[in-house]
Amino acid sequence: MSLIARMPSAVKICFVILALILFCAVFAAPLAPYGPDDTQLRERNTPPTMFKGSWAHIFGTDALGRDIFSRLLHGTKISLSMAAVGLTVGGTYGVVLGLTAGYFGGVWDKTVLALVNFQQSVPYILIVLLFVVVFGRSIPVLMVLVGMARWETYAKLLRNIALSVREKQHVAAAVTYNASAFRIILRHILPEVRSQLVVLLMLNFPAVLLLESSLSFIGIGVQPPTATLGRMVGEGRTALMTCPWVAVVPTIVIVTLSYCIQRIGEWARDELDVRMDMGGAR
Amino acid sequence: MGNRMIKYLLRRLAVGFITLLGIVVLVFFSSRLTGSPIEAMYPDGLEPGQLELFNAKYGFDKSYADQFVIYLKNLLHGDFGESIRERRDVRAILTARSLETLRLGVWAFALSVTCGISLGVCIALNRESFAVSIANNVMALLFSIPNFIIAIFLMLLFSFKLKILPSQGGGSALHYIMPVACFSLGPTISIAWYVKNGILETISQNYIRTAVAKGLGKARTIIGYAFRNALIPVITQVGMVIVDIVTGSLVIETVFSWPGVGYTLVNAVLDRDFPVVQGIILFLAGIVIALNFLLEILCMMVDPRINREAAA
Repeated sequence: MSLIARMPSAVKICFVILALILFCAVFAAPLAPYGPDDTQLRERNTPPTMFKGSWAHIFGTDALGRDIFSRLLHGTKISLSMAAVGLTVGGTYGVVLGLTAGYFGGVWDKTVLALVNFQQSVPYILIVLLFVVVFGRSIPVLMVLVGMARWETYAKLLRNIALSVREKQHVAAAVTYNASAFRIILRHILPEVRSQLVVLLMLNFPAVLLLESSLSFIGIGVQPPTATLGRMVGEGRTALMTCPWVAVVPTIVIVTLSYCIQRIGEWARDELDVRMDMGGAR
Repeated sequence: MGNRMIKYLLRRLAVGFITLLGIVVLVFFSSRLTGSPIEAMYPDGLEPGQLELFNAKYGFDKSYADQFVIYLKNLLHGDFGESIRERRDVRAILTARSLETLRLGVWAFALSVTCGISLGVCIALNRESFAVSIANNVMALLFSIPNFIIAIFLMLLFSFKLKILPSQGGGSALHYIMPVACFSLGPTISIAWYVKNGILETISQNYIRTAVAKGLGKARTIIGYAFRNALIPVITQVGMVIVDIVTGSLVIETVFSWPGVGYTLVNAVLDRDFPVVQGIILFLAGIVIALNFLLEILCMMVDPRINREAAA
């Protein structure tokens, strides 16, 4: 209770908005009045209700007569789930590499550091494009690619923490009663990095979400006609002059999402008193 | 330059080369992972016999090791292969398009570094004022907006509503304004952030107090003492700006139809034009690695402590 009382009202609002968006994304199918790809050619380019449109399409329709609200719900669902799955993939990979590198040290540590170095010195989007050309643009491929985006941040952070935790007495005690390395890492080191990990995941979430929408926006995302937030903005771009709402509505969702999660992440960082020298969370 | 420093720089140079070699290997094998690139180029299949002809022409009938040696040799001669779509040398495409990106990139780089540093100093010096606290919040908000969205809204406002700036293509000076603005917004904010934090951190140090105590003016204290020491993280951040500009070029050039490498790369990916994709990726990665190496030298020149640590 005291946690909620301490929370600044701006963060509370962010939580509420986020919960609302999550709710809409989870229940996209029952909430959406139309199918995401249903075209109604007679009702092309109708403006949103607020701008003299009809009540049939509260956010208007696009050039093919697809209901923006329905597409938005499904698009948010796909974008969010891609970001979430991706984050899990990249997080797991980075955590495993970082923890083992810090715990075992030696050649393995050097190898992981070299990999981290490699990832940092090459713009990641280039690697994404390379693999998209090779493996095509299916959702699983993109999920993994997007997820790997910031693995090096976890690896770096967890390696450094594991290095220092390894010297602590409870780890030394575990070594003396012959606990396996696997058990020590899982039971004695991982709990020590919990709060840092949570904060890092939250701070990385907007970056992963934005990478996915940028890719969809330039047309290298999920195959059409599947709606994602970035693709909807991209589709609206060509009709910016005549029907700006097609691009503006998904834009608002993207910006709101990334801003809210960013704010919550920063709050969590201060609340859990985690100090991380990882650079900007972008 | 000490002996140790040269040794350290040589080691960094070697690391850079190894990274680049890693990219070459990645590029080489990724195109061969899905089978013959010829099959990937012609998804509808070829006439019987033609596949063998193509394979012989491009050397795909040889072993991977032989192919890799040939590939490396060609690369060293500056031969990136031939575009399948445009039927011309990838190198010719690269030189033409990279010039266009460079035109934007140089402006964006200069603008974000100068604006970022001056903005950061300004904020650090007036951090109690009301205007700065508003600016802080605005910056945080702008930072969470992806650059393609900023591009779209600039276009909506300046090209379609006010009709004062062209929305597509290059040519006149007016064409530069919006793309350069989009490129530099994010980097400007992140540099300003680092400058601000750096100055605030150094300003509480003892040597600053000494400088003030001996009667040095505010400006001289900041520029001569605080700024120099705040510079190291900023230089590292400038390295990130280069990455940002490369990443941004893909999106921003696509939005503004600017005929640079980013635009070309995106289209080549959509066309599955392997040689072009690989050539551009190699080229961009090489540039980023080279520039980061130069920045590292710069870091050493600004702060002699670094090479002592590095040599140790």
